[in-house]
Amino acid sequence: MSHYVIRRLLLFVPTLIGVSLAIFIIMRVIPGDPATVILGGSDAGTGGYTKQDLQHVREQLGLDRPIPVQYLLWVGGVLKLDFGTSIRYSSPVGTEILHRVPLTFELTALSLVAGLAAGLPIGMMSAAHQNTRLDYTGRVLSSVGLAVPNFWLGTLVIVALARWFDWVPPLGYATITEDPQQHIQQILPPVLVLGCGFAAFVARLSRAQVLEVLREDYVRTAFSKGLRSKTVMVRHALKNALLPVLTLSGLHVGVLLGGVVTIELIFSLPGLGRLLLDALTYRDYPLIQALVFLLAAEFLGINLLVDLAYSWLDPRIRYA
Amino acid sequence: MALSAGSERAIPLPVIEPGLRTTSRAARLWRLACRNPLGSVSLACLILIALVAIFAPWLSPYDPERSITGAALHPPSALHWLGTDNLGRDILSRILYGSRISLLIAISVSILGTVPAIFIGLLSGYCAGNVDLVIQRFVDSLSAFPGLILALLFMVVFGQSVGNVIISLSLVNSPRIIRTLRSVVLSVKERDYILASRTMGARGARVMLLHVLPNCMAPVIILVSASFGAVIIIESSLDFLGLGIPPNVPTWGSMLGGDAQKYVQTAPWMAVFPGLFLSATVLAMNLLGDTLRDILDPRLRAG
Repeated sequence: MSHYVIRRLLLFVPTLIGVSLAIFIIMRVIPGDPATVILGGSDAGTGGYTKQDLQHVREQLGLDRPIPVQYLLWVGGVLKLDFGTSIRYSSPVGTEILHRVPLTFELTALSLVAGLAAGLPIGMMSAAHQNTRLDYTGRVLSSVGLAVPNFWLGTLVIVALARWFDWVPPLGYATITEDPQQHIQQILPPVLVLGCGFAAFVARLSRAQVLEVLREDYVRTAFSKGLRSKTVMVRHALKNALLPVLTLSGLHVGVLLGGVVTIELIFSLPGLGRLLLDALTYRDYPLIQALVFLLAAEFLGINLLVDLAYSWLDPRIRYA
Repeated sequence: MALSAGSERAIPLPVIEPGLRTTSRAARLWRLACRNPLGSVSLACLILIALVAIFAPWLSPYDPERSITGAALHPPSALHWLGTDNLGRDILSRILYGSRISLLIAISVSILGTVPAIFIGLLSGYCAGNVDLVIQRFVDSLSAFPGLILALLFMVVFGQSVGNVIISLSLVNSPRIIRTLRSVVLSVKERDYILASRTMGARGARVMLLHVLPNCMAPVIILVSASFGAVIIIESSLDFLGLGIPPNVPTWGSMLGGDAQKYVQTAPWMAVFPGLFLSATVLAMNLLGDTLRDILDPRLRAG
């Protein structure tokens, strides 16, 4: 067990380094550099600044150093949790991000739970009653759920809530300690929207997995022993079907993290997705760099946890 | 062939006389379609959408770009079937034109994101060693990003244009194809027919392109057809966020974002109808992908 965990953890590090390198390289390909953005965009001479100004700002940002040195300085900063200074907010990037982490974390975690809680039973029911009306309903629901983009579903929810409940997303955001009732009102609709797509994915996947397991010899043995079908389903089929569902759900978290960007915009929630969108529109390079890195790291981290959980649940992985 | 080298009397191969063939190609296609009603309906829908995209200038009742004075925010009526937007532009016409971008992107990405990825995956699986190592680390770090976020990053780097959306989405899409192809190549290259071809003196490139590649295509077709819908969703998300196709081009995503969100309470038709077309297209693409997978993957066909 510990051997596998250590190996998996060691593999995590080079991937993270690869990610940081990829972001750094992508950000350096951008035509122009952050210094021109700070000074107002246009080329030197035509704008309201001189070559000296440009030189000065570039020195401040460390852009005059060789690129490998810049990379090492950035990584060194990241290790000390210092992500540089935001151009737009002129405050440390770290604090800007830290403010918004709880909301986005709450949003994704609750959507994950909601998606699994709704998707798994639907998928299992579908498989247990294959080719019945129940199965068709489940399959239609999950096909539609996968096809509807979350930003459209979010828009529909907003229209419906305003029509029938007279509820409009308020502009100000209340944390759970400030105003629990408003907080729940604000977070529930986006969680349901994000959870819907995830549930559709989980339902479809778990149906396919349970059906596959039901064809296995040990399930036939279990049936021929005279076990009740409920016992076979729960004790034999479900356990074995869950593992691939877990892994692929981990990979689907990427879709959820992308969805956060559009959903936070629609429901005007000040989370990481909104911050990223603002940073992208204002070309706030240090902020973009840090946010994208953190989101990729979160995605990788979740999949690491999933793999570790997998090895804990399935001894075949541990001892292979 | 069950013939041993020494046997004198060869077993005659079954001869199929043209007159005796009971099934023509059309009849077989028809039977295939009847066995997969859902897939056939989806294919028909997609053909319809493609026709709409091609003939958009003839089908649209109005110019999608022109603002009709005094016709802003009209609800659906006989004059404007799906209403007008805040600038007085006909929504139906804009939706019909919007199908062009969605299909253009889906088709271009499935070519541009697939063909290079196939060769990279082939190289990675066939050459092994250091080439494989470098390619796989590269693929690992690309697939560590959530898809939409990587696409957003590329759009900011490259700048907004149709071509850049295609490049971004191709880059987002290719890691999965590279990885799948590599794993299939790893198993295919151990087969006897590859060994046979090498024994006959075939060189690496010939073996790769003539023998390995054709036997790896089924999973690639499945992956590509399954990714059509996802590509359209990411593309429309980019447009929705205002960071995809330049704003003057009508697309389903941009029709849903920006002003549509501002007027969502007073003019919900602005945001409802484009999304309906978008979802229906994605649904048809997903269902067609499922059908193709069922047909091409013999392991699943039994079930």
